[in-house]
Amino acid sequence: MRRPVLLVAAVVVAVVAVAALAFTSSPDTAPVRLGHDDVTVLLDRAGTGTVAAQVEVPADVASVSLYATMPRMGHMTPEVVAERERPGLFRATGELFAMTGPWVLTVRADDEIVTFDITVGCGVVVLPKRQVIGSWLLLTGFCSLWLGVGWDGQWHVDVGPDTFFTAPHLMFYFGSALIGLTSLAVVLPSRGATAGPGVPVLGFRAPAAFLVAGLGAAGHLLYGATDLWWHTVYGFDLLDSTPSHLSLQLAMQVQAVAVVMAFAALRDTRSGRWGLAAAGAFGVAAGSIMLDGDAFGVSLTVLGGSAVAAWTLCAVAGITRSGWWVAALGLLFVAVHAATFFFPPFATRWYSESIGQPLRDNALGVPLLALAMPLVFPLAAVVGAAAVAFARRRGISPNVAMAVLGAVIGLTVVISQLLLDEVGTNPLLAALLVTALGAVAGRFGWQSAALMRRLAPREA
Amino acid sequence: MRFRSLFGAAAAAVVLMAAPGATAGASTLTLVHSEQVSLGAGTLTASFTDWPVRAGRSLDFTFEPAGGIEGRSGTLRAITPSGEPTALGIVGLDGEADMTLQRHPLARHAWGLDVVALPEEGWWRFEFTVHGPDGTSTATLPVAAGPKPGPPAALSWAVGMTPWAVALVFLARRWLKVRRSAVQAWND
Repeated sequence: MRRPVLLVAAVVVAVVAVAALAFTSSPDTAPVRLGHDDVTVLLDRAGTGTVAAQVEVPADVASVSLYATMPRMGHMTPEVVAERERPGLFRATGELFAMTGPWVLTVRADDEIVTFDITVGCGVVVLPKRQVIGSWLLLTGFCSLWLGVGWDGQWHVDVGPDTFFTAPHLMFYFGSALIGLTSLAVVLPSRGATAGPGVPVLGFRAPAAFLVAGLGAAGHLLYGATDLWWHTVYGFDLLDSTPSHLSLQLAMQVQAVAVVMAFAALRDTRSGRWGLAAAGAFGVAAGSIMLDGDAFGVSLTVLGGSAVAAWTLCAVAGITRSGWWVAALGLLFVAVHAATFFFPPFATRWYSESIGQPLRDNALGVPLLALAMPLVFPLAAVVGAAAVAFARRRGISPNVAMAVLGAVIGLTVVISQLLLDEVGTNPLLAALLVTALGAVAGRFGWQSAALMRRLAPREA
Repeated sequence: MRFRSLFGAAAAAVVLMAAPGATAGASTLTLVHSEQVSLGAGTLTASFTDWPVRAGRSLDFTFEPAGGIEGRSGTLRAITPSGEPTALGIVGLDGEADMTLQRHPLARHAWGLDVVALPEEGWWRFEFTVHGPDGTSTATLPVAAGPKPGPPAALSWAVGMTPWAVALVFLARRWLKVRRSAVQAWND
């Protein structure tokens, strides 16, 4: 009796979380952090009326003042002189923004002038709290989806028989449903100017990440239904590449990208950047099973997986502009890899015992999904972190740096897979294609990141 | 608000009703047809969950020698209509053409193959080699795979991939429009 109780408890917790999210529709006031290389401004809020600002500058700066302009309306607010609290830290209080809308905040530190784009709401920061909670629910949903898929695959290989209502199926459909319901709960209340950055759809201002997540989850469930029809015609052969299987894998990747987008919008907070690294790690994991089969003697699995790895790593570099967070991506990939290594075989043995369906005679007990993941990715992340730091210091154009980095990631993955004999019958062509596609994916990752940075409130 | 709470309650109800089902036992095996072939001095009974067999549609097979599988072991080699030996299903996941005979997960008194499709239309040959107390004996089971069910593969792929193609074209157009506005520098 313990199992159903645990399962029901987990479901209830998740549903309560989504419901709580749905009712968290009141936007809140939160501080806004704006940063350039050596000048950081912390505003208590991006609103009209009196605003308190804290400015961090290099210690040798003697004077700091702030003023704001609204180029569209030709407004300019009087300059507010900041008081020096200690070397490198200044504070100012004043009316910086006369009305809501897009402003340019200028900080004058001695002779240096730094400008920031900022969107001013009605005394309200533009990213509603439900998007913050929603992002973490998306990540939770994707975790359940990914580990559920791993468990289901392990079950088929090590045990075999199933019905629609098995625990692994429930786990991954639950993950997808949580992503879908969270997206609805975030998109439905998003109306009007306080909704934050969003895509206008049917009268809503849908935050892009949640629009993509919702479509991905809907696609997942829809293709799940198609898959069920497919199985009534062709039987339940699991090893075949079918349109519905490929579509389910693609829909999972769409959801992974959506989680990355959701955390790109939260990149101003440390927790948001950790979430981004975790989302990226799951995305790289999912990418390793996105495609099946071979073409021209080249493994499409390796081709797709390395392209996703290069895109994700360069996207995280582009969103955070920091080598440190690229390394964090590698670190969290190790965690996701470990979970994928240990959970599916463990859960399969446990479930097999608890429903009395013994393991196959030839059960491998080997975590198959974890074996498909690129073991070498953390190394690529360390290389990527160093490359970002190097390119920044030397002022190498990010487009060039990311193309080279993407190519290196592709080459690293293809060499490691070559050792496992997984690249197909034409290793030379595979190495060439994977490296070239890695370069394209890396550059594309950076460009995508430049757009994803706009999902954060201050660049709306 | 009311809409959302109703929606949440409905979702909760669906998942809660599904949860107890998830812990129910696995599916059962229904064999609808059997064939007997000679295996040394005795016989081998092959049973099928779907009959007639059609190419590309999966089914379960069980194989039982007279006297049972106890104390016996063996291999199965499946020969396609075009004459190539091929590994089948999860039992053949290691790619070995001579598949070691395993107990069927739902009929553990017999050997079997579960959820296996014969990909090619025509006459297949299942060649068994069984080692037992009475030495090694062989059996050959011919299996006819009829035409593939369902729509032609090209049509299925075209229909299944259409939504992705539409999404790709839409995204590519959006991308070409917005990418120029993305700042391409370390600091923006």
